[in-house]
Amino acid sequence: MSGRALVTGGTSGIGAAIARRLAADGWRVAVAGRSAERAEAIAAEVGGVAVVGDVADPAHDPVALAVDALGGLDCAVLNAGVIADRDLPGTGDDDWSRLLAVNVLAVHRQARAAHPHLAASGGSILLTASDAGVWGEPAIAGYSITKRMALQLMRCLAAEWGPDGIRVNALCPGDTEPGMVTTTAGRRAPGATDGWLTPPLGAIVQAADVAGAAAFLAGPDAARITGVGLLVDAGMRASSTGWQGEGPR
Amino acid sequence: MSRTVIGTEGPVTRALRDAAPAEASPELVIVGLPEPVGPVGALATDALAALVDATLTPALAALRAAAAEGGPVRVAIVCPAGAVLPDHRDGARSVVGAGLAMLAEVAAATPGLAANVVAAADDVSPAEVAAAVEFALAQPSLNGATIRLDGGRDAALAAETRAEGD
Repeated sequence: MSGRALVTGGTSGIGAAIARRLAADGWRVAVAGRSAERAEAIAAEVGGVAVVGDVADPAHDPVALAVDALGGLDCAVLNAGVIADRDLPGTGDDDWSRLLAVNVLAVHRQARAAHPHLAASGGSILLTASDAGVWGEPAIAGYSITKRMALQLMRCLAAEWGPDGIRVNALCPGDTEPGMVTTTAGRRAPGATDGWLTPPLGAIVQAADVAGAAAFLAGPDAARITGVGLLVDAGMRASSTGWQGEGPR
Repeated sequence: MSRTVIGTEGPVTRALRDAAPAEASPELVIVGLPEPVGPVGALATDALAALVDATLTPALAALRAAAAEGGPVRVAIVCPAGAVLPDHRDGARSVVGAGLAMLAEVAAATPGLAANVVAAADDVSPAEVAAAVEFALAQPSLNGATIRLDGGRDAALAAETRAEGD
């Protein structure tokens, strides 16, 4: 597959894994993130270009920057996201504003920005939602709400923009390493997965697993797949007790 | 404590305010039925943000306050039917409605709160919506549920929808 992809939140965790996987599959990749140092490092590693800025800033247009650098766009991987370790009573106004700005409004803004370019190329949009958007987690209440909204946004855009030849899908990762749990400051030490519940498949999801699903949904084998939120959670959401499993038998 | 009704103004909200509480226990009813604004992909992001600010954000604040007080409070959230199965022609309300539905689901798992959703199509009468809210508030074991009031419209894919592309 030779295409042109933008990956927001591409400087760490799942986003970096997606950038690496797409590049390995032959895509030219624009790696977007807030840290210039990290974006340039990942971009250099994958032979792509760096796009630096905060997706929540309405003045920042990573789609336009990627299109300029790549000469067009075939896939917008809108992966950037934030989390707040807050239950419902603990979710403050600032938490909610940031969650909404990054996980929903930035995705909406960048999807709209990508629309004409993807309509021209017959491309696709891939959102990173979460298993918490499928089945909510009260310990991360605001995050769960915004990820459910992202999933509903994906479905609406899939139906609305399907006639334009644009596919829109979403990934719903479970606890992933490295991912939001291990790369967000104040959560766990990098690489530490102690205390994680073991999913039914007996192994914690790796970022490369999620990237593999991303490569499939972005690629030609998924040409007739749109409006799908694909769980990549090793079975965590398969049963109300599955996520309390004790590992392989 | 009696019933508190907040949210978007309209006939459903008025019907719920007029209804006498069936229980003496505290009740919070949140109505999130904004006027339709069309497909979400055609909507400016600022307009989507304004829709969230008018519906979901005050709902979250109200539930946060109720949870902080420790409850017990029974909650019903009224939202568009598109909160469950999205309607892309009414996509913006479907997105915000989905947020309201998830808000109810996490509230249902929050100590002190019991919360349910009434997802109503626009052509359902305010009285019928109010009756469903009364039911949701009165059932002790109903928590984290969604009652769809759409006459079965979304129970299965409509034949005319399948035929559109033929």
